[in-house]
Amino acid sequence: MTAALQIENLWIEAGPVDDPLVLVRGVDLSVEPGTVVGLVGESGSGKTVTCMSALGLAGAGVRITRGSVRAQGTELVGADEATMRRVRGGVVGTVFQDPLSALNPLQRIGDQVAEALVLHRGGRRRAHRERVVTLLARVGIPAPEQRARAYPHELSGGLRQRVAIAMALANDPAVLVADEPTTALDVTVQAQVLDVIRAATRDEGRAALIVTHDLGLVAEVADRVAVMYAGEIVEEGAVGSVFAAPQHPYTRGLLASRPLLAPGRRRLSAMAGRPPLPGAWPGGCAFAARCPDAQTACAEPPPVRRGDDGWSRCWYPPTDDPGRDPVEPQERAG
Amino acid sequence: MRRRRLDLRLWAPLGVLLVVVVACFAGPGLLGPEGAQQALGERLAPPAWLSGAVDGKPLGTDAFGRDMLSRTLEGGRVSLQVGFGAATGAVVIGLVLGLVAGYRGGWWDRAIMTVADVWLAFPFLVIALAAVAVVGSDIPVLVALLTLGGWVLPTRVTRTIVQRVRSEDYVVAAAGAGASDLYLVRRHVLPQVLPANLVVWSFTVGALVVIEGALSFLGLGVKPPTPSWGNIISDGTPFLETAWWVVAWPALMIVVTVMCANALGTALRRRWQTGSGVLDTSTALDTRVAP
Repeated sequence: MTAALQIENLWIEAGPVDDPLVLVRGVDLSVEPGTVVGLVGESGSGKTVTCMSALGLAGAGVRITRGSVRAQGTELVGADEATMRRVRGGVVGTVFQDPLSALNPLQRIGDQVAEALVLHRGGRRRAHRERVVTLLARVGIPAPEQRARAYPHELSGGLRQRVAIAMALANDPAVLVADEPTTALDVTVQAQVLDVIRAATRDEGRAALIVTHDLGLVAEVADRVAVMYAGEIVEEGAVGSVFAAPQHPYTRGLLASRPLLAPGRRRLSAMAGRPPLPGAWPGGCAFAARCPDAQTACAEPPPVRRGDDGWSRCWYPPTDDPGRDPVEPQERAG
Repeated sequence: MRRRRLDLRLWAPLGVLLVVVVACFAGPGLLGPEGAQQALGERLAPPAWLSGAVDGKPLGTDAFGRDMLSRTLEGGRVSLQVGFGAATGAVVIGLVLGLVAGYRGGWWDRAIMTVADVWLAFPFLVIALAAVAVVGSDIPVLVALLTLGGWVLPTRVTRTIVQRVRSEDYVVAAAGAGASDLYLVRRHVLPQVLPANLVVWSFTVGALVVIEGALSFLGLGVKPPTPSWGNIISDGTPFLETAWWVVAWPALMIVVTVMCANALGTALRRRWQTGSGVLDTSTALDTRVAP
């Protein structure tokens, strides 16, 4: 089956052309129909810029220098504006982090959802009223007929994010890209919004790419996970196997530093050091400076090691070292 | 909708401005053509409440015996046409240039803002004098000239707001839904810059009415016998000690018009200045509208 969204060897940089700041270094990622991929990493690791650049929304000065992004077979790198406009919203729907600022405060939410329809199907906003109400109902907004006439400030954060998802789904896109869709919401509402996203993907055969730093969210909704560090994907695989037996020391560190409600653990473990900043990335393995198991070989770029279902970028994956305990899968129940 | 109390700070200046405009454009016609006729026997007659006043000329007469009421109102036509016309032109140009500079950024932004900076460095009144001396001083010429004198402020205000709005999440979100640049500007950006520009427009009207008066006073406005507030004042200055009313009425009209335009601008700004700083004009408006 071909991937709904296929990113290959994507390089992104910003700043002056003669002295660029490299933000993303050769990202490979594919999202299959009906699956949810979680893209996790710390702030500044390049996860958001990867998604936004792929859609040409990263803003002025951020550019793709190499690689390819295909949505349903359409190449987006170097595509003209008309193609990009057709793809945005039509093939790839986007949900943003902050549901309040992603809606125009001066327009009724029904009009904003209708706007997404008008942009791809033409006609007047009023002509799409029925579908707007259907969409609002589908994302679980109670009394959608009345709510369509509400302004964003009249809705709670959770409802606003549902509206944003309704906008993203308006034209039945094959791919849903969500940039930290639940970060601005409180925990109980997060679960409801995740249900909506899950229903929109698995039940309707859509592909979804969710950018987040919340491993709990990944465990809950994602089928596959890609871990980003310093502009690279360091590990990719099925959620179950990555969480049960992380291959990359950074993934292990991330999993170990989650707060858990397990007895006997008193102090939250933390990774030493800080992630390197863009522009100051070391030549070899970017994680070597913080890695507890770094050795001399780590000064060279690590090879990609493929497992049964996934891969990692490390010189010394734990399979070479049977003495190490993998993180116990039971600990995930947090 | 909740009903608000009538805001006098907004409606009073607006009402006075409307009265001034209606009076200037309808008044001379209602008063009849006699007002513009010279009557050398009635030269420099004082207003009705002073001794020596002439019947039917309540505000006195000028050096040619023309009725000051009718002259003043007719003079307002030129001053207001030039003031309102040029302010509108300046704001329209400022909107377009500000949208292009703020939205496109990069080379366009640098080019437009450099021109604006250079423009402000020129002594505008001196250039206006030179231009009028060369191309004449019809009303369209004056409007065009003062438009060029007022476009920098609305351009800067618009650009500042556009730069902020264009990176708002909902604009990026609309782009993510497939909206074109033109659509984004029309539907999401333009509504955000219009209130600030109405404020700028109001202040610009006041500033340009003064500048038109200055040009006319210097003899470079519309040519007599067509009156404008500036050239009536100019004609009246030799008689200032004996016949103050020739200068007083047009001067009073300029003061009232400019004060009302500024008060209207302030009231609009106050009305739209919400907590989030939707109207970023406060700092920009401290710079002069025109030299």
